[in-house]
Amino acid sequence: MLSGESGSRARLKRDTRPARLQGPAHRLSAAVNPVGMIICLAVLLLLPGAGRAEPGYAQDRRDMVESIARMHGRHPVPAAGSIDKQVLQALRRVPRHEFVPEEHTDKAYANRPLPIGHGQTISQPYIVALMTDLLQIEPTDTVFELGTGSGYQAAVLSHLAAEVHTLEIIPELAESAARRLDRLGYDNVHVSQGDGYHGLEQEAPFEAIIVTAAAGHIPPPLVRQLKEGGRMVIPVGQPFLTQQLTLVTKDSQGSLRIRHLLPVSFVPLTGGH
Amino acid sequence: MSACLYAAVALLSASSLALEIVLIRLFSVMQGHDYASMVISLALLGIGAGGIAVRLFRSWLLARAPSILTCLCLLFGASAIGSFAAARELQFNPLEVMWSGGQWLALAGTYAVLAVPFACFGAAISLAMSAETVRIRRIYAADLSGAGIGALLAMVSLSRCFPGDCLQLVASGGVLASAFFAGRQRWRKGAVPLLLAGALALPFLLPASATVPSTSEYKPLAQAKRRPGSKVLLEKPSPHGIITVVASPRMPFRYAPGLSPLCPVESPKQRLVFLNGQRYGALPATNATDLPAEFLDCLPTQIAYTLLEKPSVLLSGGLKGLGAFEALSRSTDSVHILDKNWELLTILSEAASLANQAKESVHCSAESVRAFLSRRGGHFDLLQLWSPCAGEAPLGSQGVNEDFTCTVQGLEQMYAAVAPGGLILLSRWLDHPPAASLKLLGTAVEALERSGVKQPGKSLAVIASPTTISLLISKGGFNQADLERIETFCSKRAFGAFSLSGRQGDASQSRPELSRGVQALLSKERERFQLTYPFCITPATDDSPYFSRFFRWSSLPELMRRHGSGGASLIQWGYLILIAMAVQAALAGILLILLPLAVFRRGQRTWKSSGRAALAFTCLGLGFLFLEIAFIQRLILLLGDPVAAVSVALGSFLVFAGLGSMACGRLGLGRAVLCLCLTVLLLFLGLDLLGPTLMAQAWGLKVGLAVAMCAVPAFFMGMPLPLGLETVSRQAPEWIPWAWGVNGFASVLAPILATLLSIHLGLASVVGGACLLYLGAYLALRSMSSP
Repeated sequence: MLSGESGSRARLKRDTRPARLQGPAHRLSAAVNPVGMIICLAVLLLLPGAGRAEPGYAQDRRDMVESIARMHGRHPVPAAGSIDKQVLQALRRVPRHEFVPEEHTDKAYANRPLPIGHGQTISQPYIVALMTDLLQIEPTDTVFELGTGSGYQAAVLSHLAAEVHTLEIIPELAESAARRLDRLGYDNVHVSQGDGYHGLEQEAPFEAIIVTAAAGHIPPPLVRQLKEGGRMVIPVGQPFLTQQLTLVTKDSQGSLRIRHLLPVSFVPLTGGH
Repeated sequence: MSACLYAAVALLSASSLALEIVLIRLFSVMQGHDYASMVISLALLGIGAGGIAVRLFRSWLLARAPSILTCLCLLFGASAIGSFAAARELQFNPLEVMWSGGQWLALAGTYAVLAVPFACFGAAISLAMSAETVRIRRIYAADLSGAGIGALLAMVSLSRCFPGDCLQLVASGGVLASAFFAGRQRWRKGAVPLLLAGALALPFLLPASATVPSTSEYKPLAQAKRRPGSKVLLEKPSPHGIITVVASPRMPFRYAPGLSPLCPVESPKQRLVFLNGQRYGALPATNATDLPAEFLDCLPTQIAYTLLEKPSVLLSGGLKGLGAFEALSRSTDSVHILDKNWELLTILSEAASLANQAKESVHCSAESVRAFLSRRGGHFDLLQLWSPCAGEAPLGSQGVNEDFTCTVQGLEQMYAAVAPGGLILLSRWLDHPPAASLKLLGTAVEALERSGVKQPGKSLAVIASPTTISLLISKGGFNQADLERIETFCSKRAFGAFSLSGRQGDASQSRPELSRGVQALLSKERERFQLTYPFCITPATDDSPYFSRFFRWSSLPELMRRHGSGGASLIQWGYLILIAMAVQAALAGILLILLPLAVFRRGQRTWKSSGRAALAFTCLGLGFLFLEIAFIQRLILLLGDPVAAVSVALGSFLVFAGLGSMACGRLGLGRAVLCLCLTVLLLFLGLDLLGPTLMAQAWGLKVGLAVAMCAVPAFFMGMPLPLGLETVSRQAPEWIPWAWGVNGFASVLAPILATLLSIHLGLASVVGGACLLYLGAYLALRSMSSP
């Protein structure tokens, strides 16, 4: 399944078929000498905001997860109560500031979407948590993500699933996400670049599918690649307002159940009707 | 020499109004229409600010008036392009406003830079009036007539040229106006040929990049262009905006609204069509046969062809959805395809090879469904409309725009045009929580009741695909067999079916909110439900045709509290933007109006009548625009096209008001206001009574009637302002620019207030309000004249 010098990923292919990507992080690290690294570090520390240490972010991350956890009772599926602890734990482990552009690292742990270039955004943490939670991932699951973006969602999923396959249509984003995930050691995430409409047939079926790009219809090939008993989450909306979620579940007979969800608990708003 | 003055004023006014229209188009392409309207309307505050500046520095400016006027025109020309380029660089992102404080700074900066050319215009006109007080009427006439001609020229140019090129022409107009001002001064005549040459050469000297709009990277067109291997096949201007067709051979587009997730065949490859950067529709990659029947059968709209055998079809919104290709593939008896944009219809007919397919049975017409039905009449088995009532945008990003298709009267007219046993099929994108769906349903129920249907529930059904909602209205009601066919159709495609006659087959989709709403709308509790629902779902009417208004103040606190967990997407920012615009315009206007009063408070320069003058000129500014907006709204219904309605109304109102201002001395203020109020009331009464008859006339005749309808009140509307300025001129000539500025501020506030009034109280309140405002202006001016 995997190839390449790191033994974990395939090389980039420019083709209509999805192509696996590999980050050049290993080659880069080998080429940098210790003196150069010290100079680079010194320069980075002098840059405004660049010298913030991981412990600082760790506190921000804890605060972010706590604020998401406090959103108890606002879950769109009333029976689900609050967001699963495992999901929150995964969020605690992923350094979100590594997935946002440098100029936005100070806002990395705010509950808001951020631009990542190429007309794409990294979803707000609450939405990431919610979509992940709706997938109800088991440790043995194989998950497919359509729309890698910065790779943050895939990183979160990697802490919950056995394997994560993620596909991005924009080559530049796919390449940078692959490099980033590689650098951060997410070995069970496999990034590909290509047209996501047909899904990833060679890796199917999947226990869970997450689509992070709004679509005018649910692509039937994705439904076919969903295992019986599997779950798929698709958001509908605009980049900074991507809040409207659809949950598709496939039962053991292969029948679909489609639920339109919203991260606002709609019940209080329509109460009495 | 006077001719040079009037020509310069007319040219500058033409350029200024053209600039307003061109900037709206440019910002619509870059960011979206709602944002464009907001930014440009507030930038117009610059006109009033220009007048106030002239008041503050009057003596200095008057002493150098000829040179200053020439310079102001040159500055207008330079800033028309410069301010656009600067605003473009600020890269304001409306989508990010609620997340980032920095965006507010960018927005303020955008207002400020765009106000510069309008401030130059406002200062130039008010300075010209101050310098030539005996010619106020004629200057005002030149100003209005020039603006009218500028509006028409801008509309025509934008339908043929790209907005960036039009912006260069606008700048040339400013430079040309400076040549006319310079021509009035003997010692400056040497500069005239230079300025003329500059005006002519400007469009060729500037690099094209200076005026090219930079589309937001979040707009659908920018996203489509990012696909590897994608290419633009066509890009052309049209009256409604820039049309772009994009193909992506390597990673094809697959547009199929509401397609069944169980569809067994592959979605065909398509090209996407964009209007001003927003997705409009799709075309098959090569020809209509690229959309196989098995694929079309997976679409929710196929329910119509399941229930009807080879129906005659009237399809509105030709390129939206895939209705045209569905109708053609089902080889129906006759297909009428409507779209307001003729250019889009041409693209559609070429792509679908309509000319080769049953030429005699396929007809295309560039008009609205209501205008078509009024003119042609007849009965159709199927009336199909895709996303007819509001844009495809989700609730939160939607603006509040008038639309006469989805009013109670609109659906009533459509129901009358359906043959017995036929169907109306209205489809739109999914909304959750349901707002537009329930509003459409409520409107249909009311329209059916008004059409004499005793049990509307038996004639209505809703089909919910995973991403779309389709409302079916049956002429004659659904029978048992129909309902069973609907349920079978839905269950095979994983769609939800909500029949409104008590049956409910909803095996695959959970839509409890929709289900509850449907039940409530068919019960005796309908009105209470509509009034207490968190979103405004009260049906729109022809008097208040704002289907797309969903905002309710009572829901705002709850949505704001939950903005971090999804509430932001449910707040209708388009409505709040209107309120924000009104507040900003009012505050800025009041501050700038009061500024000269504060500066000249001491000494002999205080003007005792300033309060009454402020009232009079505010009333005149508000009244003029109230009537213009009210007429535009009525003409949209009459002509069936907003672009045509705005062009006819703006051109006619301004040109005929200009003529009226020339004749104002003969009639006097009192009689002018009386004539105005009477003609306006009679015209609106006549339009209400004769509306359907007028709508049935040929398009050319309707345009002629529209011009005549605008001309009569406009003639009288042109009189009060110059008469008022003459009163000021007699009492305190130094306050003329200030009075002009007050009128300018009111003109910015007026369209926003008129829209809000129309939304909440109906169009009649706007017309009535305009008459009261003119009466108020008359009383204030009369009290100023009396000793």
